[in-house]
Amino acid sequence: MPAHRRVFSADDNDEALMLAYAAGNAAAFDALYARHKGPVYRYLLRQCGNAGTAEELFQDVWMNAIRARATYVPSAKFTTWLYTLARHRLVDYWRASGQIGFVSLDDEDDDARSRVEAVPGSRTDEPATRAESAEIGRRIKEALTSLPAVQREAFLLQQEAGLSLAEIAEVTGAGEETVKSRLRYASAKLRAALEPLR
Amino acid sequence: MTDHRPPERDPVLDAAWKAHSTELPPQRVDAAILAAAHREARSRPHAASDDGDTSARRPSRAWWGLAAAATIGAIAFGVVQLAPQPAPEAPATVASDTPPKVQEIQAPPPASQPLEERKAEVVAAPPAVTEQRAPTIRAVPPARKPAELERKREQIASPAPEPSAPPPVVAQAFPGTAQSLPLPDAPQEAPAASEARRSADARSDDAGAPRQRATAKMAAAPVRTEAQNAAGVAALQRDAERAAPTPAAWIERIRKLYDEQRFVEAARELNAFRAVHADADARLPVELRGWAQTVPRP
Repeated sequence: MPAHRRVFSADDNDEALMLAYAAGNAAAFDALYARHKGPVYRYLLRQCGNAGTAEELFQDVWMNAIRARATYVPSAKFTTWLYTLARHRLVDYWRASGQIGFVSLDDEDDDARSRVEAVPGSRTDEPATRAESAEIGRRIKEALTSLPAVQREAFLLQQEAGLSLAEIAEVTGAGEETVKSRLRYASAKLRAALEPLR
Repeated sequence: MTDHRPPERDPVLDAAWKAHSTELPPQRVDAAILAAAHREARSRPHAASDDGDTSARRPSRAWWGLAAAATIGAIAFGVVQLAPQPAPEAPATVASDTPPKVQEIQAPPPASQPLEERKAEVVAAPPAVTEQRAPTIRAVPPARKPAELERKREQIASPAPEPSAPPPVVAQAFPGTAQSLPLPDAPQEAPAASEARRSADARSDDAGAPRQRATAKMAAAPVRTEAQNAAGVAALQRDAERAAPTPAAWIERIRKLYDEQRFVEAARELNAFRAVHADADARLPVELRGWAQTVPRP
C-alpha cells in the first residue's frame, strides 16, 4: 500500500507518523494530532493564562509543524521537536506582548527557598479520591499560576508532555541540574498548596 | 530514550494534576488545523512510484520535447532567412592590383543603402564592373614615369616599330592623349583596326599596374601578327593625329623643353611633330630651326 494511503494505529511512534505525513499521508497527521493536541493546548493555556491566546498560539504551533514537515528529521523525539516549536511561539508571544516570560531561579530570595525546603514530602498513602475534588483542582491551578515561569514551564513539560529531565533541558536550553532544581521547587510549592486538603 | 523520573516527582501530585488538567482545544480549532494539514498533504506532488496512474500522464507530455525542438528549429530558420546577406567580396587580384579609382568603382555600396538596392547591385555587379571598368581606366591618367623607362617598356612589349612609324613616340610624348580618345563606332572600324585598338587598350591598361601589364603582354605576344602590329601602329597614328595639339602648342612645348635644356625630350617632341606635320621644321621659329637640323629624323 502506498505510504500516503496507509492507516496508522496507536502502535506507530510519533516519528513514524510525522515521516508518513511528510510523505503525504494525511491520516498520519490525524493520529499525531489526536495524541498531542490536548497536552500542547494545556501547556500553552497554563503558560499564557488566556484561552483565546492559547487557541491562537496552539493553531500557530501546529501550522508551523505542518509547514516544517518537509525538513523534519527524526534525530530526537517528536515531542521534543513539537514542544520546542510551542515554546518558541510562546516566547515570541511574550516578547510581543511585553511580558517578562521567564524569571531565573536565582532571583528567588532565601525566604522563598526556605519555605520550599519546609514543605513536607509526598505522601503516597493519601487516598486518590481526595485529589480528585474540585477544590484540589482549583488550588493546584492557582498554585501553578503563582509559580515562576521557568518552574511552571518545567512542571508542565514534565506533566503534560511527559518529557524527561534531559528532554526538558533540551527544549528549554537549560542544564539538567537546573531543570531538576526547577522541578523540585515547583513540586514543593504545589504540594504546599494542596497540604491543607490532605 | 530513557525516562528516568526525578526524585521529586510526587504520584499524588501527578494524579491530582492529571485529574484536573483536562482542557482541550475547541473543535473549530481542530477542524481548522486538520483541514490545513490535509490540504498541505494533497498539494504535495507524489512520487511517480507511489501511485499507478502516472502512465496516463505520460503520453500527453511525451511530444512536448519534439514540439519544442521543432519550434526552435523553425524560428532559427526564419532568423537565418531574414538576416542580411553579406556582400560578395571583390576578386583578390582586382582588389590588390587595380588603381584606387578602379577599386572605388568595385567597392561595395555603402551600408546606408537600403537592403534591396544593395542586393540588386550585388546581382548586377559582375557585368557592370566589366562595362564600367574599361572607360574608367582609359580616363585615368597613367602613372607618371620617366620617359626612358616608358619607351623601353614599349620596345620590350611590342616589336620594334618601323623607322617611319612615329606613333610610339607620339604616344610617349602625349601619354594621356590616346587613352582619352573616345572609342570610334564599331561599324566604322575595320576588323583589323578594331583588333589593333583592343591591343592598344590592353597596353594602355598596363600603364598603371606592372604585374597586370606583364601578364597581358605575355598573353598577347604569341598571338600578335605582323598585320596586327601594322594595323595597331596605323591606329595609334590616327589617334595621335586626332589628338595632336595644334602646331603652335607643339612648337611651344618644344621651345620650352629647349629652353630648359632638355634636349633629348625636345628632340623626341620634334620628331613627333615631324611625324604628324611634314613641314614641321618649316613651322618652327627661326631660333629653333638650326637646332632642328641637328636632330636626326627617326
